[in-house]
Amino acid sequence: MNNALYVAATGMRAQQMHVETVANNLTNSVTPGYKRSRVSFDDLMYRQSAQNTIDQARPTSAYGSGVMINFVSKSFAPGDIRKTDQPLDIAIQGEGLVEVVMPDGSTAFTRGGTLKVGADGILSTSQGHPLKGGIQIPTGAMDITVAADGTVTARTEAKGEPVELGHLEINQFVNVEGLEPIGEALYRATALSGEAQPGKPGEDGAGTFAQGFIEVSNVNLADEMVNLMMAQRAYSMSVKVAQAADEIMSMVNNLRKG
Amino acid sequence: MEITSPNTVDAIRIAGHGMRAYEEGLAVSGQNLVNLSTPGYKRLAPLYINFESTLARVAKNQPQPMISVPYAVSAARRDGLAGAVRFTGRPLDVAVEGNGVFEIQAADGIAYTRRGDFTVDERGRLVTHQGFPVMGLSGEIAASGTLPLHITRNGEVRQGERLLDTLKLVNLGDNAVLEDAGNGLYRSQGAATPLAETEVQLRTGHLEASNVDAAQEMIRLMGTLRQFEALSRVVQMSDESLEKAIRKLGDL
Repeated sequence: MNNALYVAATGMRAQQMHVETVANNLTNSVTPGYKRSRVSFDDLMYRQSAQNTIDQARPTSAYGSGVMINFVSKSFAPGDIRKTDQPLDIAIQGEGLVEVVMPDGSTAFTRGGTLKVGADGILSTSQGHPLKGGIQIPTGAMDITVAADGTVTARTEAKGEPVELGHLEINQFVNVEGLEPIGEALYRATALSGEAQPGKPGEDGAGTFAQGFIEVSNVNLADEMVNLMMAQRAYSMSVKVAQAADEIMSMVNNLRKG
Repeated sequence: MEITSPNTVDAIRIAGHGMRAYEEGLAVSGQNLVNLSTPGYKRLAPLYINFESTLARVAKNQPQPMISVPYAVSAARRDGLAGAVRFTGRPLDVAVEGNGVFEIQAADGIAYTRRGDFTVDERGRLVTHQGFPVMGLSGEIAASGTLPLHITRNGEVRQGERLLDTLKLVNLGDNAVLEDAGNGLYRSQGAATPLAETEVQLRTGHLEASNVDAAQEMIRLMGTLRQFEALSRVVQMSDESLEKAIRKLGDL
């Protein structure tokens, strides 16, 4: 059967997935803390051509079966840090993530973002997931400060001394690209990423906290537009291959008229 | 296939062989075109083998005259030309500048590749995108702790300041017979001489792109299609003249 047609189909499928990935990146080009997705192309398994019965001396050759995207992974290249001067905007400068507690008790990680003080006074993400450590902010506290080393302090009275309320740790992973994104800029540890290694910010390669800053999306618009153009061209080339295969089959059908 | 004096039926059979060859050639061009974005991909180059030479080898002692025909079967070999080096910005992406291939511990033995989009597996080893360990001069390269790995221009794999190992790059020689193992991996029966430290030139944050030239491949595709069309016309015309001959002779 005509393999060129199936090869072309794999090409179209792969480039379609590529376009979807690029589109997702582009729609999230201003989402704070968003990490762009990248696709990995691979050529598909090879089949041997049928044994040449006329000339046994000539070796058989292997033909390909197309292309596929074997995984879509996240790029954890740091995004730019943008100053917002909002006291509860926390960005991580350097490597690592902060641990948060999900409603079902499981653990997730985030690169920071806009924090808020929950109804129960616990320092949480903007979606309400408390940061690990359960840092309690007393009602009426002012000047909530997160130092670069993760120490959280606040003033309980207008001119009073800042009181230490807790510490935030930075978690590092052997393979940060292996983290599984679960939406809302949260990630889960997997077997591939390795276990989270909590540590003090600024030590052993861990990043530090920057209060009043937000990490913007690490999507590079120029790169993504180029990827989009390449994907479109590659898709139309696969279509041309399919059309050529179709023409061949049409010629074969018309070998005998009537 | 019997070799008797040339006749119209032979023309159809011969054209048929050629058409099958071009159909395979189309699949090869298709394979190349869909792998434009596959890093480290080496294009397949179809070889159209002259049927006469094949036949001459097989039927040395035939008394009948040989028919000279264009092609019969095709084979495809890899074109090892280096692809362009493209920036990706990923710390564990490496491209080899110049000669040399990475040594990989594949499922069934040692394999080689130019595709350098490496990552770390759950055991902390430096592996290919498929998960096969990348060989250093002292074997597998394993990280400990969580400091990120980075690779230097001369192949040193470091974790922070600590040197884990140096990547093993080998030279397979210009005339090496390579066996395709798929997904950018190749096996070689010949000697693999390790590159000296000074010869190793890598670019990190870059990947070697596919060496497929889209324009060339499209032109080949068009050429293959037209040649197929020409042979299909040979079949049609032979068929028509056979039909006429039968009718005319039948009228007697």
